[in-house]
Amino acid sequence: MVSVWSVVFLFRVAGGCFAAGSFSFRAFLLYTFRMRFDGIRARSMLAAAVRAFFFARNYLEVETPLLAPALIPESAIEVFRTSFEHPWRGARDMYLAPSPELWMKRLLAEGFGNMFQICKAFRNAESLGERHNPEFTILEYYTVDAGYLDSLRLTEDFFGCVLDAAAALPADPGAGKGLGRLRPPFRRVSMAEVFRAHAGLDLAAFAPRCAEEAPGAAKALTREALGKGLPAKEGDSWEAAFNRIFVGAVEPALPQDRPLAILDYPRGVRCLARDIPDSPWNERWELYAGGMEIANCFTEETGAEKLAAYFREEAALKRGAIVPHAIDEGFMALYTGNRAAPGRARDWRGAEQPRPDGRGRSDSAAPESPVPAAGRNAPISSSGVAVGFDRLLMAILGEAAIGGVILFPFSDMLAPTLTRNRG
Amino acid sequence: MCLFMKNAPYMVVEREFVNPGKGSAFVRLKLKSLTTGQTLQETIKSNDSVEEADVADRNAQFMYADESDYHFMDTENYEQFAVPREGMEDKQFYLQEGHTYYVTEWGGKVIDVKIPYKIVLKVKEAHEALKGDTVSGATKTVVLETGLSVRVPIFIKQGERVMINTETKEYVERVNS
Repeated sequence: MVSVWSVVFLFRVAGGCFAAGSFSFRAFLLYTFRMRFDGIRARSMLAAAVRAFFFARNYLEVETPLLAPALIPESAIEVFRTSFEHPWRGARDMYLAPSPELWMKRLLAEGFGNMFQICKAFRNAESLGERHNPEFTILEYYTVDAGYLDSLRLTEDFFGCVLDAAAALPADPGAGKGLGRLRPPFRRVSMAEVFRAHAGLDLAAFAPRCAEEAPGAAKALTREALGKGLPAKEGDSWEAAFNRIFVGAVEPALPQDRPLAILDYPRGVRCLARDIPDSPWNERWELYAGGMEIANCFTEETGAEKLAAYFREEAALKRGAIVPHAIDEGFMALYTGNRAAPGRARDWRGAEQPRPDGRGRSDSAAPESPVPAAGRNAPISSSGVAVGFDRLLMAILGEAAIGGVILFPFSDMLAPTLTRNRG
Repeated sequence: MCLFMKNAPYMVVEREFVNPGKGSAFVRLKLKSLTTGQTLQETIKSNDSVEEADVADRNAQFMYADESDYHFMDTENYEQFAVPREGMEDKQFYLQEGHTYYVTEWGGKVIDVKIPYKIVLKVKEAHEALKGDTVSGATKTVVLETGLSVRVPIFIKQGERVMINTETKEYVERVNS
């Protein structure tokens, strides 16, 4: 299947340029604008490859709201706020979704089964850099009754299909050099191993198992890091201390020759991944390609108490955000107040989910919520993966900057007002 | 931008924003000491407070360069001053005579001349592209008026003006008129 397209493309370029025996300047211009042209084609190719891959496995493509009155609380992410102007009832704050996660989990809870989505996501207050555009594209897919390792194998298969499709893109001496760095199988290492290898630090000895242990562990980790000359700062929370070392010392040293999956993240970094019992880790991996973080995966936490704690703690931090937002309490109602359909209320190991109220009351009794709860079913066990679609394109095309794969980069739109032009 | 860290002023040479997604955002900084010239890597949390070094900015028009210095004139008080080339050798490719730049001083010494993100330069030397030359990727190397060599699409001719991204040193587009 190597390059049927590329052969066709080359013939078309050659044929177009020299049609009717003379050199066609227009066709040639088209060819010289190839980089931009390639970007458009590659984006379209990747979307087609995603759909082909997931349709072949019976995943449902879904579309969920980008504009919402309430969001998942994620203290590390700032959002965009806008307002809905009702013609006579006044205005109401609305937000652009930073990810489709909660909407897709609602659909999962309704029993729609395996699903995927390609959508826009919006994140505010990030620097306009090589790897960030405030509006970007996410590919997110969920597999029911699966864990993070199942998702890792699925993602390897997916990358294999993407590489086959990418091979059909017109060959360019510069582009495509990233392809080898995407080829499965992925190298699998644990977070503890990369810390040992690149920071010389035994992370397990400093990783808290619960929130109560975090402050003490933060101090110990900071002290250890300072002693070893690693990036550290007194007063950091455990999460900040961990990420400071990871970002400052570990991530830049990660091997880049092959895709690298870092497994088993510390629980001290709060997220919606399920804990690994009797350890300080949770069932989460992140995928690095060419040194760039490209995907994030969890075995999704389904325990009502754990989820409630996550929402409570992150919502509290969110109040200090640059752009505070309403919290999607309706999603929590799925976990705490709704009746489960038979056979759905179990976790991925097959254990019965505890029903907090014990009586299986109906939706109408669910707490007041800005977003109506979509499902009547309790959450079902699943594993979800979020892939940075634009970053995957960067890796495929060998682009160093995200602006190279976005047709109208945000920084270019702002350029006239941001740059001082004193010509 | 200049920061005062570890009791010395540092110029930010490179900065990379890193957001691990679940957790604090950081900025990886590559800093160059303004006093010793040594470079330093720092990882700063995006809400860590840092002290900005007490540096002054002024607008100055670039007049000419000689072997050792760049010569500027302050656009407010018409004071002329020289900036040694040393340490800013690469700026010669982006300084255009008669244009105004932001000049940064610390301790009475010019430590930075800000170059706009995108500038327009005239093509000084360009060879004609060979017909049917698609093998070289449909680009060619030209020399611009400041001496900078860049790869451009082969339709660019001598005397035309092109926009250059000064960070990546790459061709952006042809500028008409």
